[in-house]
Amino acid sequence: MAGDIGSFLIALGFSAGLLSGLFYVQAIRSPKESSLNIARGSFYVMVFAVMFASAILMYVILNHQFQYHYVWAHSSTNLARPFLVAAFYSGQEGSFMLWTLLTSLIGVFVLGYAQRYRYEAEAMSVYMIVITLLLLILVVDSPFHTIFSAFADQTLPADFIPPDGRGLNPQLENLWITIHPPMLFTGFAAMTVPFVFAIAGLIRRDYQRWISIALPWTLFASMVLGFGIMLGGWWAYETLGWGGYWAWDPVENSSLIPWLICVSLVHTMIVQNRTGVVERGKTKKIGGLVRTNFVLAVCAFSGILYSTFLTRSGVLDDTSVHSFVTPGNFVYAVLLVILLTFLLTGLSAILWRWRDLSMKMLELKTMSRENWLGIGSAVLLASAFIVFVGTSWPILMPLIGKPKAKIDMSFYNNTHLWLGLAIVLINALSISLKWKNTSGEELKKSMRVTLPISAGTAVLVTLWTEVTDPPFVLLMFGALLALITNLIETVRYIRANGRMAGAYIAHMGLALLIIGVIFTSRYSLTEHVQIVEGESTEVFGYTASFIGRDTIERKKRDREKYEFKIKLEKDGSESIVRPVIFWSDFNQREQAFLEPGILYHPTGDLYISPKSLEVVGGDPTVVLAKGEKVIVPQDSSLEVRFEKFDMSRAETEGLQGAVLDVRLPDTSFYFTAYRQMDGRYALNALPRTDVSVGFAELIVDQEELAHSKARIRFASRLRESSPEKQAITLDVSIKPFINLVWGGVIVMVIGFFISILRRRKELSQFEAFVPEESGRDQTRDIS
Amino acid sequence: MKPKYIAGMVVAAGVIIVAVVFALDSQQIYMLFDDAVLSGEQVQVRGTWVKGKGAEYNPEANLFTFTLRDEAGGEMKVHYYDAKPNNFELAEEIVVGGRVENKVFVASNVLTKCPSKYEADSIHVST
Repeated sequence: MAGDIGSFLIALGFSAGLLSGLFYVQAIRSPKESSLNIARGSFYVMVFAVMFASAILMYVILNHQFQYHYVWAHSSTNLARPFLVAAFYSGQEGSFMLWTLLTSLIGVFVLGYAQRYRYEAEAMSVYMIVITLLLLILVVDSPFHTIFSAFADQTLPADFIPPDGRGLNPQLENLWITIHPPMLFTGFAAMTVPFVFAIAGLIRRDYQRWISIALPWTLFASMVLGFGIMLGGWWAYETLGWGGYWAWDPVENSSLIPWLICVSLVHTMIVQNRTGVVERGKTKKIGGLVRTNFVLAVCAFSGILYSTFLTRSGVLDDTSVHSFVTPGNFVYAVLLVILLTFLLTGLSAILWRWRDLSMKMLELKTMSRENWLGIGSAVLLASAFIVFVGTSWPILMPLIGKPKAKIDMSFYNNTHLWLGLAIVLINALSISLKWKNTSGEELKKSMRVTLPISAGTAVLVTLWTEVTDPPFVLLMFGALLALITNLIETVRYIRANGRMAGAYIAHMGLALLIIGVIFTSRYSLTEHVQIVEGESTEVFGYTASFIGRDTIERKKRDREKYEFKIKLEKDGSESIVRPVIFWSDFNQREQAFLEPGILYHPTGDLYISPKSLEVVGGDPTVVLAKGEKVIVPQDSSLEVRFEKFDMSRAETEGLQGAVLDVRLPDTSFYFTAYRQMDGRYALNALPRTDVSVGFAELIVDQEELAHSKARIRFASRLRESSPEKQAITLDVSIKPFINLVWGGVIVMVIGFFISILRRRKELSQFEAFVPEESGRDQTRDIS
Repeated sequence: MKPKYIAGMVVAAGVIIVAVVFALDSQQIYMLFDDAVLSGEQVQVRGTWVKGKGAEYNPEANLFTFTLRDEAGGEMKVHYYDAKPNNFELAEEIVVGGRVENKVFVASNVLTKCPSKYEADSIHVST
């Protein structure tokens, strides 16, 4: 029922969006208030339809309406509320829903914004095309499909409702899932705006004003997407236990590519903004890099679509640690068509105005800041291109008839060592240069302080860390140079005009990030240790003791979760780190889920990643398949054969039984050992012997239940066996200055935020004193 | 203007060449074990775990060993110097990356793919 309304709302949203788009296109040609009103009206109808459809999806998830395939596939009754909310977007259809919702909501702001700068018809018509196509994906791939229709081939009864859903992978059950994906999708949605204004600019033959209008949005998209990417790294580091924060995985790369293009676009837009002149909302002079800005705006948005295509079409299935969905050929085709549509129409729009665009070219002086901003952008693009090549390699090779191949991580690391170096050096240089032109004397003066300080510091760091690889020393020097150069500018501007400091703060963050990356990648150390409960071992100058474990999340019946207490002592101070190992019904408790424990420290974390858990000592156990027999270790006159499982008491008492055929020298009898479903079992005395037996474990063979095995424990009643202890295996790593990685990105985000404020203020200055006009103005920006 | 364009083109061509050369250098081609033995290079092999031949983790050596059967039925022992990968038992398909050394595939990465559990569309009505 609710789902029918949801499907209807998606269809309504799609139609209203289409209508709005058509009337906006109409309004470009003849700007009548009546068509604009219809366009706006249907835009709002679409926004409300999308909002209500989202609310209904949330509602059916919160109410466990498992008759909907999406709800069944991505949630379950035992999920806590925050994860039920996250279930909204943890599957493919829902993540398209979230993307569409965020694009619609941002659209409300874009509408007001475009009206203010007299860009409504052009900008909104393009915007509506984007939303309409997103809605088309939802029409095809709706989150409101019922189980009945999703499994049409399985002849389910029409009113079939599964009792519970499949749930969420328990490894994803932490607060990061409530922050990271929405942040990324906000970035995705915001990336639409620069694209829209670029195309709108081409339609209007406005080659300058659109830059200052789109710039705050480009900054916003870079900020949000960049922050979202970092949150993903943080998540991986904190709870997924990969040991690192970045693995050049296709999923990570696919959001990095548009981010790099977007940041590159920020810089080229700033060049054009700086070199052009807009007064009172009219273009007086067109700046440099006009064509570059159009091309990059199209590429950045296409990058987002390409990212979606890579991660949602299943093309990279066997190259990533992320599990992908194979959504069916239709969605694959729709995604590919959408990607090509926007890329090709964007580029053709640029070609359509090529004659205009090649008219006015602005020469940038070699030793000017704008020139080096442009070169810096080119390096960012080179980075984006290299990540693109690496990530697409498994698709590209078969396309040209070569065997499918995967790119090793070293490809990215080796190339980015040099690209990173180029970026920090170019940044330091361009900040040291003046706009327009700089004499050698001036450059020398501005680098007189920064150069020796950073070179000196780099030497000190090299001596201190005793790592002397030339590329890393150079990169450290470059990052320090960028850091100090930007620090000086930040201090200077914060006194004068705080808003101007944004760019310098952002670059300080970048320099800190790169220093953090150097330390964590080059200076990390890992040791592999096994500690028996109650014992200790030396690692990295710490005395690490395994002092016990606590059961956590006891209330949840679907899991068995332990925190292992590792006490670390060094120089008289001690702390306890708690790596986690748990088993979940999600994978039938077949294999443990592992989460690291981290000892946080400002100058470097001690990262303890659990690897495995074993039992040492204790009574001997034997694994037996049906029909197998064994001589009892404590009594060689006794033979036990595993007859069969006895599940007759499983339903009523929750007991699983193992029927044993016990053979003594003179007699034999059957004996059934029981264990409870939750794993507890007792040792029971075998009659006429000194041996007790327990049914320790039921080892299920998923493929063939008949091949399942039983682990039987034998204990002697005459002498005590050595106590049973747990032994935990850990990878212990030192992550020096990892806080610089997080801190650097946060400083970057702050820098982006301040820059947004600055560019908004500038925009209102450029556009000031425009008399209020109804509709759009008739004057062309270029005559 | 002209020299600048030419410089730009040269740099762009340079980036493309570097990208392709580095990529060719670090690529790991998907192949069968038989070809992996011949190539001796870092490769990827897709296959399934031979359950009957077990899988074992040695905590002291931090070595996980198992046997993989590739798509043509060729089998080889795999050495992976790390703990058992997540979802190993559940994996419908396992992709290992590494090289053959002394008739053993020494893997630097092991990818476990478990569509049957998380993604595939199958449902038991009997519940």
